Amino acid sequence: MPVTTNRQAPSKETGVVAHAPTGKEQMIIFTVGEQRYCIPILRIREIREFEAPTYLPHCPAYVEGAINIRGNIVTVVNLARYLGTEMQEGNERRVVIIIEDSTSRTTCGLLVDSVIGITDIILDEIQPISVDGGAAELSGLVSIDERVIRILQLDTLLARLLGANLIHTDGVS
Amino acid sequence: MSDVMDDILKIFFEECDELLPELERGLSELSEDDADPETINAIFRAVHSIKGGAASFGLERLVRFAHVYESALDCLRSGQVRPDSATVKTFFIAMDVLSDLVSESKQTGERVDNHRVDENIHKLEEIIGARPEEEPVVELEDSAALEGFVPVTVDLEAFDFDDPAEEATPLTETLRVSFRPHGELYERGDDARNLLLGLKSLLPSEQAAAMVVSCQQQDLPPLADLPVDEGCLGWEVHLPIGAEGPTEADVHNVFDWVSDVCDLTISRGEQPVEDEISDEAECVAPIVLEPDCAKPPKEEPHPVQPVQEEGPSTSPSSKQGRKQEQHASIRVDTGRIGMLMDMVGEMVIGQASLESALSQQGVTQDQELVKRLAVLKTLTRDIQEAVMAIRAQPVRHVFQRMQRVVREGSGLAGKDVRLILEGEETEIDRTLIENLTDPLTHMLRNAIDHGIEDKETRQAAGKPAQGTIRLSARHRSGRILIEIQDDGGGINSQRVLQTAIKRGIVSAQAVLDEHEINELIFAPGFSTADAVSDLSGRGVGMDVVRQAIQTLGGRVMIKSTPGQGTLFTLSLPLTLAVLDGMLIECRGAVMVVPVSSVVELVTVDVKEDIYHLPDGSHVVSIRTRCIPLIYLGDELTLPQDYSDVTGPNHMGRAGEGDQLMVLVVENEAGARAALVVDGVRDQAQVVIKSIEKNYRPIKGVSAATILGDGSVALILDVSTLIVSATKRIDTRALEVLAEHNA
Repeated sequence: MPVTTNRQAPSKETGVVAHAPTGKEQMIIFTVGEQRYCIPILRIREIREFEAPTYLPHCPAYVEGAINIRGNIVTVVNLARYLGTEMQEGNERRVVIIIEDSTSRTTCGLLVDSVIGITDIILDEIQPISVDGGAAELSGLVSIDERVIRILQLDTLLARLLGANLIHTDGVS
Repeated sequence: MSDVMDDILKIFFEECDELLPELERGLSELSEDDADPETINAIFRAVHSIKGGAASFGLERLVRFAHVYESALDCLRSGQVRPDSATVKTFFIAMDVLSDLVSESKQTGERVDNHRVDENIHKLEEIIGARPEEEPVVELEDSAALEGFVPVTVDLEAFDFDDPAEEATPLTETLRVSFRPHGELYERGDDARNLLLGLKSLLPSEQAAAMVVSCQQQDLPPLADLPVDEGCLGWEVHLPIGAEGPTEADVHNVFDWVSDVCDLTISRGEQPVEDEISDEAECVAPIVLEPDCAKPPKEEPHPVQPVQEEGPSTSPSSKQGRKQEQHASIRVDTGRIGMLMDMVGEMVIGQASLESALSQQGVTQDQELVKRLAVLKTLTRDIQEAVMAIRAQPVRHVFQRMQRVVREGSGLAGKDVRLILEGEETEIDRTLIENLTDPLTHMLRNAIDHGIEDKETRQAAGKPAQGTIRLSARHRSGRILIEIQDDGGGINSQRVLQTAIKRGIVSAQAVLDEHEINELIFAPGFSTADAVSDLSGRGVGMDVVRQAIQTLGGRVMIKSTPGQGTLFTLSLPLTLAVLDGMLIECRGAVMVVPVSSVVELVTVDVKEDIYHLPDGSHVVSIRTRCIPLIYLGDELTLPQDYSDVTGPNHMGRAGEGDQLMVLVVENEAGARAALVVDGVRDQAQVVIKSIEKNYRPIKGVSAATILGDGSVALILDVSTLIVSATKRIDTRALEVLAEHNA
């Protein structure tokens, strides 16, 4: 059931990340294992059925493989392994969310358990996560209907896929 | 208007970019063999076109230089000056100035030093001065004979003599120049005024006033019939001939670059005798283009008649000639070709997926359908090849630029170095050509600076004083090999090692063999030059070269023989777009091996043919030759999901029982390895897709492709696999071995 919340809550004063002038950003909410996560809808190119990818040699455990999207080779990331959790067992409804970096045009697919829906997130409500070291998997938390939703840090993920010189936390699983 | 001019100017510079290499090629040919008149004509035309274009845009410095250059070439063309090596060298150096002047006008280059221009003009003038003194008339006759023109006689007798100025100077002998520009002359942005000014400049300033100009309007049709894009006016000019006054040759010079779009007749004196006319006319013959206008003077009731008659006939025909020329080639934006390329790539995939879908449905039993599908397949492939061919260009374009690099480099280093080009016609993809210039420049400079020894050392070593660098290109097994070979001292490995230790590139305790030491020159920040020279020695050379070549999917190999020279081999893919691949299976995954690197597919016996080495690796003996064995599944860490694991460590599904199927592959250097595979599926042309756009580079995999069923298959990087199997950085030792075995 889609969650659509437009509750105007008073803003919290802690570490606000306000990059949209409206103070709101549309996000898509999905589940990986038992957890809910979200990413900005503007980063999403499409959502497609999961199909068996081609294995990439020497890849980190969270890389599922490569698939063909209209002539482009796109890497699929197993988000559960990336985040150090387990996927739901026996889930037949797994989907791949294709995201794209607006500047570098780097594309990648995120294998998730299911997509819940779209919601407006008030940026002031986002609680940042303090991380030791620079590269974080998550960029913040937000609570909607008493449920904590984690906001995925896509730039970190893309940078890791491209093999950038970040602190390697590849061996999560 | 200025926009239009800018566009035209741009076209002019584009033309210059084509003409200059042509000039260079012509000069190279000239320096190699005897003067072929066609070659000389070609270089003459190139300079001439540059001059003509430059004149239209008022690029004075360029025009002035090109003019002298052209005059010097004219002496060559007329056979008065022999193209000996000194002359050709002068032309070469002057060509560099010319090309710099072009860049200067283009505002991409620095302003060329006046002194340098003058010096070269002086040298060219020396060539002009060197010709044997002859009467200009004879010279003209020579060239007339050379170009095989039909002599034409034109009567000028009945021109209007009522000119007051002429009457005022009745005793002065005059040169009567009558010309009639075609429409084309104006199309080129030139003007009759320029010609008149040119004529005026022939006269000493005090006599300038004595030049009489009259406009011939006889051909001017009624306004209603006026063809707006044709030239209808003719001009007649009387030039007084003083003691040092203008000669016919001077006049010809003025009309030099419009000679093909302007009728010109020159005569002498007021009352020419019949004989004299034919003499004069004969000597001006090269200027008159249309033999149709050759009419015996006596048949002409009116002197300007020929002009009138030829007017309509000349313009259309010469225009047609130009149009044909334009149709010979067109300029296409490279972006468009790239787009076409991408679409063709998609078409190949689409065609393959159609085929695979049909075969899955079992309709391939239908003979008619199969036949039509085959036609489609052939056609698709042909289109793909045709598009590739559009992008392919001979390496000549890069190679010829290198002549200059060597000329300048050897000048700076004070060494006498000759560059020999081979295989310039070898065609490779345009993208590669564009990206080859910088690496080759670096390598040649290095060869001159570090490779070739100075004169004394060379002579002491019993070598010719002139150093030789050979730059060659050829195809080999689906790749292009570019070799740079110098006959210098070779790599001084001890010095290289010491420098590397000094620079902290390797530790002082490191034990390296010679090839590993040679590889060190590719290390970042390495430079052996004791003093930083103008040429190289900033230590950015070779690692930049290697990077650039690797970006292009190529490799650099060194082979150095002390005292005899160094050979650099660049191995590059022919194209960056498609590949002939062999589809293999390993642990259920389909992968592509470039057909170019496949030697053979053999079945070997696990017990008899495979040997274990103490370090844990394996070799396989194929017809008594031992080849390193690579268990592809292990090498690429393929998951074992699909395989019934047969051995403790390796391979996917082996062949039947104790049999293994191995694919013997070879890299450019001739080193071999045997890949253990589960089977070979097919052979197909695959479109290369980058993985690195969305992922990091994968060791042992060069790219990926999309199969007919839409799935992704990896393209194996055979060279990396072989290198990892042989555990060597360079493959030279194996290459020697391969040569030995072959």
